[in-house]
Amino acid sequence: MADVAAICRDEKRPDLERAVRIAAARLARTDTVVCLVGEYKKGKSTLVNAILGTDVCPVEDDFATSALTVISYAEAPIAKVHGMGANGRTIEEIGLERAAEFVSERSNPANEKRIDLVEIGVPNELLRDGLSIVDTPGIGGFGRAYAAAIFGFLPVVDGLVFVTDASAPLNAQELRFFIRARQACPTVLLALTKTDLHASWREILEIDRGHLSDGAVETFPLAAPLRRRALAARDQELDDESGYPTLLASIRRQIVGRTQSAVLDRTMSDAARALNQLASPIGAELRALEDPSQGEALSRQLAEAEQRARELRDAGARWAVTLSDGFSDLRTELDQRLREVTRRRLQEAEREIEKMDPVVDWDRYMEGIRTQLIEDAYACFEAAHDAAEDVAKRIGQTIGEETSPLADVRAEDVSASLAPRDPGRPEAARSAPGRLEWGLGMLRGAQGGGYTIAWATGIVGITVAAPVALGAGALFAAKFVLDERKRQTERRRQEARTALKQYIDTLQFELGRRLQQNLNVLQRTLRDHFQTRMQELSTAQTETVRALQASLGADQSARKARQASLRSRHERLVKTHAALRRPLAQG
Amino acid sequence: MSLSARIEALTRTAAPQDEAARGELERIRSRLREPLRVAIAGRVKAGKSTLLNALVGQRLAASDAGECTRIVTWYRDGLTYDVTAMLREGGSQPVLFRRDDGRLEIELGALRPEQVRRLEVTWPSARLAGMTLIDTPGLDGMDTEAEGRTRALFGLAEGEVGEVDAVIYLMRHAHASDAAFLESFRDASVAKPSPANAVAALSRADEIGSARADALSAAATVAERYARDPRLRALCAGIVPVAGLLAEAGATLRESEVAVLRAIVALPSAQQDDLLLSADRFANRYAPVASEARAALLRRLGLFGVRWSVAQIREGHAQTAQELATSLVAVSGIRRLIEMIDENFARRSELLRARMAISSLKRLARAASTHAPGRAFHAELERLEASAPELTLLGLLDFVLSGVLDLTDSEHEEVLRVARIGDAATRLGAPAGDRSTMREIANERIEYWRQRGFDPIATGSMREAADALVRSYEGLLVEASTDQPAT
Repeated sequence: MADVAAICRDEKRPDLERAVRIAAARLARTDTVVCLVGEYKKGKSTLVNAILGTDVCPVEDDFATSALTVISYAEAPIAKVHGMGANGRTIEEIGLERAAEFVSERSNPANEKRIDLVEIGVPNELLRDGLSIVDTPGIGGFGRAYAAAIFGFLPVVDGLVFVTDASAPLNAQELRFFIRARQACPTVLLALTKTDLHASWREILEIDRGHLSDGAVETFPLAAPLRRRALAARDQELDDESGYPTLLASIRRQIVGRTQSAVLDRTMSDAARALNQLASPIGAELRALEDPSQGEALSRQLAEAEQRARELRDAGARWAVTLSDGFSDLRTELDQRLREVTRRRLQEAEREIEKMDPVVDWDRYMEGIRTQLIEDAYACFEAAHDAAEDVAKRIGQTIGEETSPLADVRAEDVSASLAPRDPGRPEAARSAPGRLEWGLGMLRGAQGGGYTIAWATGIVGITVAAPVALGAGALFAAKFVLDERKRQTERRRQEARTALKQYIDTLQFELGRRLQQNLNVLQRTLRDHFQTRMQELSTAQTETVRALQASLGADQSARKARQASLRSRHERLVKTHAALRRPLAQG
Repeated sequence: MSLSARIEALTRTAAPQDEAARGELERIRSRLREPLRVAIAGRVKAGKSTLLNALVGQRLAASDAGECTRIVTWYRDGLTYDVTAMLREGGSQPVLFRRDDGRLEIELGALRPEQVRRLEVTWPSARLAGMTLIDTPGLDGMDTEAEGRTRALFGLAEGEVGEVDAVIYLMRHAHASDAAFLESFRDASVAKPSPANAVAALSRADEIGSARADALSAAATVAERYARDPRLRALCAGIVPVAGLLAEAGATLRESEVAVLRAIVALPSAQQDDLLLSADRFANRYAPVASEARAALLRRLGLFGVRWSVAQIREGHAQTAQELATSLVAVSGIRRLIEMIDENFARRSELLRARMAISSLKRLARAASTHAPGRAFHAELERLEASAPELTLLGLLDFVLSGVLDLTDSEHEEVLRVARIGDAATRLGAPAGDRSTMREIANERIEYWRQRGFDPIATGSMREAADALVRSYEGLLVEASTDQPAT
């Protein structure tokens, strides 16, 4: 990569040099997000702490985690709370020692503080290469909407660790959750915690494996207390017994390794693109000079180059329009869709009210509505990303033709040869880099934008009080006049309808706002991306035109000298380009 | 005349229309005479069978790593040891069983589990004399068919009639499905079982917080918080932590097992610590005590139980099986659970069965309401219901526990106290035998609840509740003023 950067500098293209250096930096520190999911009180937070060897996540006998927590590397300990304020997204910096206030159910029950996630930075060596670990609220406790909220986050993670414990085999709910999670993120490891407490963990593990027999899942029996003790006593043997080193190695190999190869892929194609950009003017001029009828060829090349530059300018105008039109259509469409689904849910919910007594069923009922709405919204957000991806592809096509002037080695070939050849990898995963490149992956790359993805956890905290103000009806069946009871129930239903309407309105407003914000981030990311690309392309074209004009004006001997210098420059490019393939051949 | 005797007398006046109704009447009558039926329910691996064993004091129900209870099993008191399979398509069939190492092994032989509606184990046991205990397959497990059998038992399935009077619900943490089950149990059953006939236990309490030394006090804190949670409070009368495994071991501990523990305590303390670090180490590491014996002990006591027992012996609190058993039972929390069962079920046994009978009879009467005798019978039933203050009080208790009334915490406590089955002094919260204080309290509370009922912003149900309380206090006042109980 240093060679490529040097060439860019020598060729006086600081813009390309910068792009290459950014790509190289990305390679040095790959952002890999590993997410822990599972039922609540299965030891997810303990697992995070045991991996890191420090108490980052609050662990309590009683209270569970209530907010997404992202832990990554930082020079000094830091914690930030991401939320949604009146004027859009808010990020508040807090001391690490205060993080528990936002993360634990004790002080933030059902995430009533409505935060999207807590970001924690710690100077931990294990995280230095860009690994982030995400602790999630467990599913299954009161507040089932968490499950739906977490699924919104899964498409951006690189790997999952599904956490269950050795006290009992997987139950039906866990299994359903597992299957859905694996659809959202194909790389899943199964961690069996608390093996130190249960002598029968091997039997439990066998039963669990039996339930998951359709897909081979790697399983990791873990004992956090042993790990803790091993780290304190620097006892390698005990550490191995705890099972944690094996899990870590597997996270590195299966998740970090895979992400690295995807990033390597992307970096290589960035480098190849930079070389292509450089080769474009040199190659054109060289071909013209090597042509026997130099003068004629030169003027033909010049005409072509000018033509291409013009086209590019037109395309430049077009892509901006495509982007802004595409996104404004998308905004309207998604807004309508969101209104449509919430309206439908409201109708359904109102019908439901007719059948129930709000006093008895309210909590369960609201929980159901919340879960459904978040799932609906998830579909909307997914559609937003898919549509954004489409827009990006359309723009890519309008400018894509110009990117391969090096006839023999094309950027696509480089990336193709760099693509991981892992036969065990399922199809869905293989197509993932493409999606990551344009869709959610771009968001993650964008400054802080990745966390817009965690849109749903904050939503869970929105609640509305149960309509019990009017008091409950009679359970003293024998004495109470039937009509009076009916009348009271009806009154409570009326109140429930009002509360419901208010709730759905609030939720729709909040979801709409988040959706728009997500689209803004997507649009900005795409705009920046294409702006840079267009700049590079048009510089290359201008350069070609200028070089051809210079050659056309020069005399025979000057042309000869020029030809020789061009050839050596071109050779250097081709050699470097070929060298890009080598790391793969070695690895 | 007792309430159930009055109900039984009333059933004799009914003139059933057909064979089915006659059978149903007979069923209701025999159920009135039977002990209370208490089911132990919960999600898979909540420790139901272990708790049942602890309650009976014998290892009757099987328990191991997987989902092991697949058939609903009734444990009744009886004169002989006997196991019978009640078949799905009617009829019954005796089943072979043997006792193996203290455990009851039931052999279904050629019968398949899906053919069996339930197993009935008759076992001479003082603990079963007062109530029939029912072990159930776990909810939310992989064996959906077994779960279906549990739902049928509770009358949760479509068209089913519940066969259970009360439930001990086990949960490890309050899971959404726990609440959902208790809710549907409350809603679905004919007799509208209610907070008053459900108690909950935070089970496997010894495993909370990685089986630390203070696991059980941590569990108590958790249970207290759950007990205050309005959602759970509306579903059961109380929640206590219980370590079923410790209680079961305490009830069935043998001297040979304690000998193994003593041999471990005799080891150098570094080696003891090393063994007690994890279950695997305890069962498998090399030590001068036989590995099989250690593994067996671990199965019986769990890691917490082993650590705790070792500490007890080491510190000289217990030396013999008897002493260790006593302290295991004490630490397990089972006593509090038994007290809660006693308070809520055993003492209310007649009342709960009466209420179940009345609601079944009402259903019969409604079915026959096209005939004049049917309607008359229904009216009789309602009269009987209205004239039994203890039924009103039970209704009030449900009402209050389910949280629909806006009561202060002290009012809530008060209702629980008044609705208790017991002597007047306890229910009034007065020193025993102090009649003047009792009268004073009763008069003061009558005035208080009158005011509460007259409050212009009080809801209809609040007025009703206040009214019921006033009448209860009036009854207590009469009791305090005479030597005879009012009823």
